[in-house]
Amino acid sequence: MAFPYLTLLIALPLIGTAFCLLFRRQPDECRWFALGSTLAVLVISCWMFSLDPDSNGWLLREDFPWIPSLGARFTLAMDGISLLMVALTGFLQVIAVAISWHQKKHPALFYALLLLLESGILGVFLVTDLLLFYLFWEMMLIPMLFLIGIWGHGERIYAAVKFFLFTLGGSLLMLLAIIGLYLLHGQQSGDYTFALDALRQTDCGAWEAWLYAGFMIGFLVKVPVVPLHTWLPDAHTVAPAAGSLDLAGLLLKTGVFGILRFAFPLFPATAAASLPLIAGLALVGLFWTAWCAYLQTDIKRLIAYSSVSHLGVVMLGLAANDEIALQGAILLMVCHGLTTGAMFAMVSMLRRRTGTRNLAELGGMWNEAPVFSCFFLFFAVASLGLPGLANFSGEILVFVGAFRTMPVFAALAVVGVVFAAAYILRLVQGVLWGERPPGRSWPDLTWREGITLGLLAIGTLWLGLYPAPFLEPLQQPVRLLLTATGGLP
Amino acid sequence: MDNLMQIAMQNVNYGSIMPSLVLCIFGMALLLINVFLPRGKTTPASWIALIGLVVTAVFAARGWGDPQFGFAGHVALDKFASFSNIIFLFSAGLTILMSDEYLQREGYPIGEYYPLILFATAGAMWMASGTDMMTIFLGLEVLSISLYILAGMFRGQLRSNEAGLKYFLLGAFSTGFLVYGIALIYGVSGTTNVADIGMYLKSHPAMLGNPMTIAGMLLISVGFLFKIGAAPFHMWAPDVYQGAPTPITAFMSAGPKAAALVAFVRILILGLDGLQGDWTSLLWVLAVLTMTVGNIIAINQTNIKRMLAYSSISHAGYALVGLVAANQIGVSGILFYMLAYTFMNLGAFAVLVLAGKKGEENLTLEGFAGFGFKRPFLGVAMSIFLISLMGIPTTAGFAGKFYIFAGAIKAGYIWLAVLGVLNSAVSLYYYLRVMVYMYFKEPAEDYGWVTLHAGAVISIIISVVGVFYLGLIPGKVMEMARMALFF
Amino acid sequence: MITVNHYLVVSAILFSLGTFGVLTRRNAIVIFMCIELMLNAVNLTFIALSNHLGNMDGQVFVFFVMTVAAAEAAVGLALMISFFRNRESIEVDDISLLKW
Repeated sequence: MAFPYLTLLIALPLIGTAFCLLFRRQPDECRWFALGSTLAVLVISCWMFSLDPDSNGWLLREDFPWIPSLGARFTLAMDGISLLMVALTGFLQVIAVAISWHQKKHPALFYALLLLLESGILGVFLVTDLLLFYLFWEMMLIPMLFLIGIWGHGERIYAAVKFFLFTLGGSLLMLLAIIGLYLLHGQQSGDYTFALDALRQTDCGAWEAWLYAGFMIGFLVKVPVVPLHTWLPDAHTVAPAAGSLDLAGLLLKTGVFGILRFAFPLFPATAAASLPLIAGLALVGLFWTAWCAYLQTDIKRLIAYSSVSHLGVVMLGLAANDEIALQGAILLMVCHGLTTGAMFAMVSMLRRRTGTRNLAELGGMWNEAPVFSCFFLFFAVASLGLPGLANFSGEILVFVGAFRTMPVFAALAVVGVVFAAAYILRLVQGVLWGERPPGRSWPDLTWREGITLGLLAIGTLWLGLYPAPFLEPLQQPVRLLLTATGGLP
Repeated sequence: MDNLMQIAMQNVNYGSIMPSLVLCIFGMALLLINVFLPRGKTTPASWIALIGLVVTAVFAARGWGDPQFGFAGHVALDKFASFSNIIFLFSAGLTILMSDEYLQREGYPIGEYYPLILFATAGAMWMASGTDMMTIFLGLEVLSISLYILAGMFRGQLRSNEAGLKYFLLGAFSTGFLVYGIALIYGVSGTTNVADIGMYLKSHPAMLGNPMTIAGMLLISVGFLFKIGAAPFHMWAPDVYQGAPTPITAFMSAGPKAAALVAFVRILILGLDGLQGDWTSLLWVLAVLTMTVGNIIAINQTNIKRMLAYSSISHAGYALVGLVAANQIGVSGILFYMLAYTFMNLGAFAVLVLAGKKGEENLTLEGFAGFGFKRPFLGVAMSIFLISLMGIPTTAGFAGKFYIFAGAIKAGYIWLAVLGVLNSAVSLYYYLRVMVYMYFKEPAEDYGWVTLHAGAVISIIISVVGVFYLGLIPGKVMEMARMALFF
Repeated sequence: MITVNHYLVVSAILFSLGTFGVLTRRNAIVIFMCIELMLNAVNLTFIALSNHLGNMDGQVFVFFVMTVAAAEAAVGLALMISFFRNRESIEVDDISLLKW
C-alpha cells in the first residue's frame, strides 16, 4: 500500500497542535513547532505538483474503513483543484505564522488553534466522504471562533458569536441534506454509504431541489454571498492578523470548493438550472459590497468588503459554466488568497505602527516608510487587477469565459471592476499620500515583515506573469466537472 | 409442597439478576461498613462502591454474549439490558468519582451516599431488564426513592431540602399515574407481562380502540415522561437539578433518565406495539415541545447548573425523537445517545464540581469569566463537553444526534428532524455563551479557584476519552447498540 | 348486583379526587395523603380486576404498591421533617427558594 501522504498532510498540523499544547509554557518552542509543521505541509504540497493524475483526475487516493455500521469511510482524494487549494493553504499558513511571530497573548494556544484550523481546512479540501467532510467542515469553526474571540480587537465577542452562529446555522441545513441524500441512496441501492462517487448515482427525484438548497446554503454562507455575508465584515474587523488572513485566504475558499466538489457534482441538473440565480447573486454582491467598501473608513473593513466583492467574481466564474471561466475562478481564488492575505497582513503592520485603522487618521506613509509603501501600492494594484499581477490573470479568464455563456452578466461584472478601482484608489490615497498626522514616528518594515511580504509578492508576480503551471492541473478536473453540469459543448 | 417449590425454583435464574444482585450486596455491605468507618471519612466507602460497580460490570457484560432469562418472564438480561446497564454503570461510576471531595467540601461526608447510588443503579438495572410491569415498576421505585434521598441529602441546606421534597412530591404523584396506567392495561389484557400484553393486543385488535387501553397507554406515558423530564411534565427538573448536590444532579440527568427511556422503549415497542400510531403522534408533539421548551428557557439562565438542567430537558427531547422514529436506527440511536450524553453531561458537571466552592456560589456565568485561562485543563475539558452538547462533529454528541435524526428521517419524520436540527441551532447559543465567558471575558475578580482533585479529574478524563471515542470512531458502539435491540 | 365496573368507577373517582387534591392543596403532608389516595385507588382497581379476571397478578401487584407506598412514606416524611427544620413550614408555597 502506498504511503498515506494525504493523511500525513492532515496529521502534521495536528501533531503541531499537540506539541504546542504540551509545551505551552515555552512560547519560543511553540513558534518553531508551528513554523515547522506548516513548512512541512507546504513542502509536501509542492512536491505533489509533480504527480500525475489517473483517468478520474485523482492524483492521490486513500481509503480506510471508519464507521462500518454507517458505511462511512475515511476517504481522502486529491485532484488538481484540491492540489491548488492545499498548496495555497500551506503557503498562507506559513505566512500566518510569520506575521504572528511575536504573539504575546497566550502564544501557545494561538499557534495550537492556528494549526488545528489548518488541519480542518486541509481536511475539507481533501475528503470525498460526506460525513468526514462534515466533520472537517465543522472542525474549522471552533479554532476560528476562538481566534476571533480571544485575540480579536473591539467587538470581538459579538463578531465571534455571529460568525459561529451564521456558519453553523448554514451547515446544519447541509447536515440535513447529507442525511437525506444518504438515506435516499441507501433506500435505492441498498448500499448505505457516504462516498461521493456512489452518491452521485442517486436519483433524488422530487427531493433534489431541497437537498441542493441545503448544501448550497451551507456553502454560500461561507463564501459568502450577499445577503448571507454580514458576518464577514464584522469578523474581519476584529480578527487578529493571522485570523483575517486565514478567513479571507482560506475559509472563504472552502465554501467555493465545497460547491465545486459536492454541490455541483451531486446535483448537476438542479445546479445547471440554478446558475442564473447564482450569477445574479454574485453580481448583486459584487456591486453592493464594492459600494460598501467604498464607504468604509476602517481600512480593514474596506478590505473585507473588497474580499466579498472578489468572491462575487469567483462565483460568476462558477455560474458561467464554461471551461475557461471555471479555471479562471479557481485561479482567482488562489490569487485572491495571496493579495488579500497580503493586504490584511499589511493592515496589521500598519496598525501596530500607527495604532489606528481609520482612514481619516492615516496618511503620509509614502515618506515615512517607503518600503512598506511600495509593498502596499503593489498589493493594492494587484488586488485591483492590474495586468501582470495575480488577480488580473484570474479575472480576465473569468470574464472571457463568462462572455461566451452569459455576456450580459459578464459585461456588468466588468463594470464592477471599475468600482474596485474607486475604493482601492481611495485606500491608497488615504494611507500613502497626504499629510502625516502628528504623533510618534512610524518605522519601516523589519526584515521579518519584509521577507513575509516579499514571498507574497513573488507569488503574486508569478501568478500574474506565468499562471500556466497552476492552470495545468486544473484542466482535467474542470472538464470532468463541466461534463456533469453540461457546460462543455 | 415440594412440587410447588420445584416449579417455583425452575423459574429462578440468578444469572438474570446477577448485576443488580451484586450491586445490592455491595450496597448493603457498604451500609454496614459505614458503621465502622470513622465519622466524616467517606473515601474508603467510595472506593468500595467503585469496586462494586466494576464487579457488576463484569456480570452485566456477561449478559451480552449469553442472555439470561428468569423469574417466569419477569426479568431478561438480554443485550438491550446489558447495553443499558453499561450506561448506568458509567453514570454511577463517574458520579462516585467526582463526589468524594465534593462531599468533604460541602461538609456532608455522609456514608450512606454511596450505597444509595448503588441502590439507585440497581433500580435502573431492574427497569432495563424488566420484562414485566411489576419489575419495571419496582425498579423505578427503588431508583426514585434513592434519588429522593440523594437530592435532599444536604440536610442543612434549604436548597437541597427543597429539591428533595419537590422531587419526592412530584415523583410520587407521577408514580400514581404510572401504576394506574398499568392497572388499566392489566384490566384489558389480563397480564402484566410486557410481551404478553403485546401478544394479547395483537390477537385482539378490537381491544386497541378500547378507551381503557388508550387511557392506560396515556397514563403510563405520563408516568414515564415525568421521569424523563419531558415537557409538559418537566417542571420539576430545573428546580431539582439546581437544588440537588451537583454530582447527584449529574447522575440524575444521565442514568435514571436513560433507565426511564429504555423501560419506556420496551413497554411501547414490545407491549403497546399495536398502539404505535397513537403514541408516535403523541410523542411527536411532546418531543418537539420538550426540545423547544428546554432550549428556549435555557437561553435565559445565568446559573450554569440550571442552564444544564434545561439543556438536559432538551436532550430528553432529542432522545424522544428516536422513540418517535421507532425503527432500528432511531431506537439504537437512543441507546447510543444516552451513552454519549452520559459522558458529555457528567463531564460537564464534574467541571462544575471542581469550579464551585463551598455553597456553590460561583456557578453563575459571571463566575466563569476568564475561567479558561485560570484553569486551562478544566477550561479545555468544559469546552469539549459543551461542543459535544452542541452536537458538533468529532464529538459524541454529533454522532448521537446524527444517529437519532437519521432514524427520524428514515421513518419519514422529516419535519421532526428539521425541528430537531433547528433546536440544535438554538442550543448553540447558550452553550456558546459559557465558552464566551470562559475565554473571551476578563475575570471580574479572583474567586480563589479550588484545586484539582484526583477523583473528579479522573472522571473528567474518562468523559473526554468517551466523548472523543464515541465521536471519532463510533462504529463499534453503534454496531453494539444495533445488536442490542430486541426487535 | 355490584359488578367490576362499579369498583372501577369508584376507584376512578378516588383517583381523580387524589389528583385534584395534589393539584389544589398547599400543605405537603396533605398532598402526600392525596398521593396515597391515588395509590390506593389503583390498588382497588387492581384487586377488582384481579378478581374479575381470575388472575393473581393484580393482587401481587397490590402488595408491591403497598410496600412501595410505605417506603415512599418513610422517605417523604423524613424529607418533610428536614425541610421543616430549616423553614419551619411545610407549605408548598414556601418551597420558593428555587423557582417552580
